[in-house]
Amino acid sequence: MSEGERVVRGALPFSRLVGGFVMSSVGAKVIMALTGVVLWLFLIGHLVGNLQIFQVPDAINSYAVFLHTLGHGAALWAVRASLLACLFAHVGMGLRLAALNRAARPVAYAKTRRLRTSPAALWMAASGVLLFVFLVFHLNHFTTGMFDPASFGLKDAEGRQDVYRMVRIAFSNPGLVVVYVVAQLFVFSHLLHGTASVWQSIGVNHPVWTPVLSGMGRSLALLIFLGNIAIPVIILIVGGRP
Amino acid sequence: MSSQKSMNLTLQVWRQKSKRDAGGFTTYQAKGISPDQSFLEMLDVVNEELIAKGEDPIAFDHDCREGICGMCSLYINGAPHGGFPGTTTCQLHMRHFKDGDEITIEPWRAKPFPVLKDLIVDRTSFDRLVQAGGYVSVNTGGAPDANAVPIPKKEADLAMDAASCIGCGACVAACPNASAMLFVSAKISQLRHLPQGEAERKKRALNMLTRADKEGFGACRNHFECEAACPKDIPRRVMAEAYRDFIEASALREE
Ligand code: FES
Repeated sequence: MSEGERVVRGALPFSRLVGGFVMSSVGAKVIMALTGVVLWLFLIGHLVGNLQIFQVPDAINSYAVFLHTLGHGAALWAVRASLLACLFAHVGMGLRLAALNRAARPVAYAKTRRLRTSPAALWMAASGVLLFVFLVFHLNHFTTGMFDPASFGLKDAEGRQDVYRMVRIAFSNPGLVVVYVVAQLFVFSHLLHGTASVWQSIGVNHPVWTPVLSGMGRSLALLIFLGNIAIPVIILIVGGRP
Repeated sequence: MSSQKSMNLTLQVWRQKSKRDAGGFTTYQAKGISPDQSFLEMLDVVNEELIAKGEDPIAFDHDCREGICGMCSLYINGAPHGGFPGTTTCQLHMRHFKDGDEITIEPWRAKPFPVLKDLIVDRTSFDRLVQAGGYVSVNTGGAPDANAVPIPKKEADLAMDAASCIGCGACVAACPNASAMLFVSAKISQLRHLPQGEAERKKRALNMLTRADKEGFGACRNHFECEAACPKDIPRRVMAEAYRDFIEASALREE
């Protein structure tokens, strides 16, 4: 029996999958690509929803209620659970590969000249860790409200959570705006490499279409960046407290 | 015959007595080097001088010196084979350098490529990768007629492009993660495009890529430094093909 077969052959289909595919470096790559795409699609939806902050206050407040009550509140938790699962798979695989890759070159070169890669690709692990740290802060800021309970607890005229005012108050604080804009730089850097290299990772390479798809991915990363920084920056400029 | 004058260079060379020795850089002067000499001939000049002085010459791998065997290596000024497109160290000419240049010369760095002496690394891990699946199983017997199996030109070209890999290890040396993905994939690709190799396509990818992980090579993160450093210009396409075969064999468990 050959080596690969020994690894793949296990008692249960699940252990065969885990042993052969998930633990392999190519399998890890595929999992990171697929979970990355899910997280990336979420970012697009997240941005589109959040841009309603530039409409009348009722828009985003009723959107928040809509999200919380969809499927009697089950939809929100189903989405959150899947996103968390993707996030942990993505981060877990990323950390594992980073450790393996570090071990693969125990003695460093004295001098290195990069020929083709990009800073975004080289800083993938660092931007990933930084954006994870930001994510923890962001969730405690606008989702659990731990960071600023007073504005998190604001209610609008109809007794709904006043998301509109909460966000406006937050981004009238220049310090917070800086934190959010800098964090978006990490997101942008991470997406720049991720969106361009996802195709190769799942084994798709075409001389014409892969560069086109990668270019579209990069453009989308730029749009997400611009959209995301527009929210805090414009609110800061036009004045936070309506 | 050269119109240019000879040059003097300062070399920072990695010297290491044995596998266990810690090793370090030693500075040498290469004097009177002709721009028409190859990089290895330049090192020959330095070694002649060392031998004349009764010192240990710098050990480096080489064989054909015409860019086809894959024996020469050397991480020159921060890139494998010097980082010139489609060039092996033996085919790198000194006209790419200027009088007075300082050149840093290091061995390939990767856990599965331990340094044996100075600039020579042990690349038998590559042999084990090929043993894991870089072959086709055929019954012995009379030699088959040439062209008995028709192969479309396009497929034959794809196989031949991958088959131009000389197994030097520049891809591993260049990779920020010391991954052998380009080498393994070139071997997988050269066989998968041919009818003789198709039968064992999935098993081959499964076994060779599993072996690469076990040998301690790193994981590919799509930097494509390998593609840029490859003296034979093996394209990234071969890696996508290898991933496809591996996914079919492993995740879909068809193998
Ligand atoms: S010595 Fe044979 S390829 Fe350089």
